[in-house]
Amino acid sequence: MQTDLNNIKNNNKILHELKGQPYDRNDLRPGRIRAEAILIIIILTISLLIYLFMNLGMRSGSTVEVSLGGEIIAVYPLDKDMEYRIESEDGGYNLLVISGGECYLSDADCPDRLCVKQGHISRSGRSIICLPHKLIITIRGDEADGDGVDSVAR
Amino acid sequence: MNNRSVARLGLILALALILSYVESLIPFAFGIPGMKLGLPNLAVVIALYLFGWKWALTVNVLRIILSGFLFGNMFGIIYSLAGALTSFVIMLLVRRIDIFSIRGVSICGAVSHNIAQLLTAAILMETAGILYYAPFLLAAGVVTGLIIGIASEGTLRIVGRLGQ
Repeated sequence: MQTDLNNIKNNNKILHELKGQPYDRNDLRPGRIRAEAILIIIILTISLLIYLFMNLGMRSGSTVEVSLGGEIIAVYPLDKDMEYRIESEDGGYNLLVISGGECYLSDADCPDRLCVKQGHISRSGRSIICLPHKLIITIRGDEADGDGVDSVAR
Repeated sequence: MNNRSVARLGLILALALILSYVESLIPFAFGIPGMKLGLPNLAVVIALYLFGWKWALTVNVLRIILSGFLFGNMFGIIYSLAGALTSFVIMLLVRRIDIFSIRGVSICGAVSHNIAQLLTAAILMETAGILYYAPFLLAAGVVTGLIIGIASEGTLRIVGRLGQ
């Protein structure tokens, strides 16, 4: 009998240790929920403001800048339709396509292929980034180009 | 560290690794680099609330190294560590300030994780262009943080009821 009782006590102790600290029932009190709602609204507002701010200043671009591992390796005009194969340092590749004033990566052998999913870009300042290959495609605008300003104003 | 602690750490670590694997199966990125559901953070938040910060930190560092070797690469480990450690410190601070519940703690963790990872990428790749994704990652952090927070809360309630 004594050993049974000890066993039960011991089991309870193990269970208690595995359970850790009990979750505070008061953790979700109304004041906290209100504070969280405010937090969510503030963060979403900030992200919306940043998004609007970044998009307002955008003009259509004129060149495509290719940077590999932090160094600019090539600049291509955006108005000439072409296809380039970009070899990265680790032997991988990305296929850059320029067509109809837009550019995108049509294929790549990086593991996540997020660069392909980032889609088409055409406006100055936008970029496509392939983290595994350290590749950044950036659209650059011509500062003297009045076209972009017009297209925003319209 | 006694046998029981080893078993406990193994249990939480296994949970974190399974969640990492499940996360790698779910396509949630929408073409935005660094966007993740943050499922493994569920294990970290639970460990933080049940067993304290030392346990949570151990689980956090070990699961990143292990899942990095299992499902990713060295490059990914650097990003993950930068994000996870920043978000861990922020979650500890927010919990200490004591104005949010577990949901708010998780949201702050997710948002700071995304910011830290984005800044790391901007520094490592020497480009500010990647900051274009900041608003998307901020908004995504709110959503994923809330999901993980609610899930952690539900789990903790059930765990608390066991053995009573």
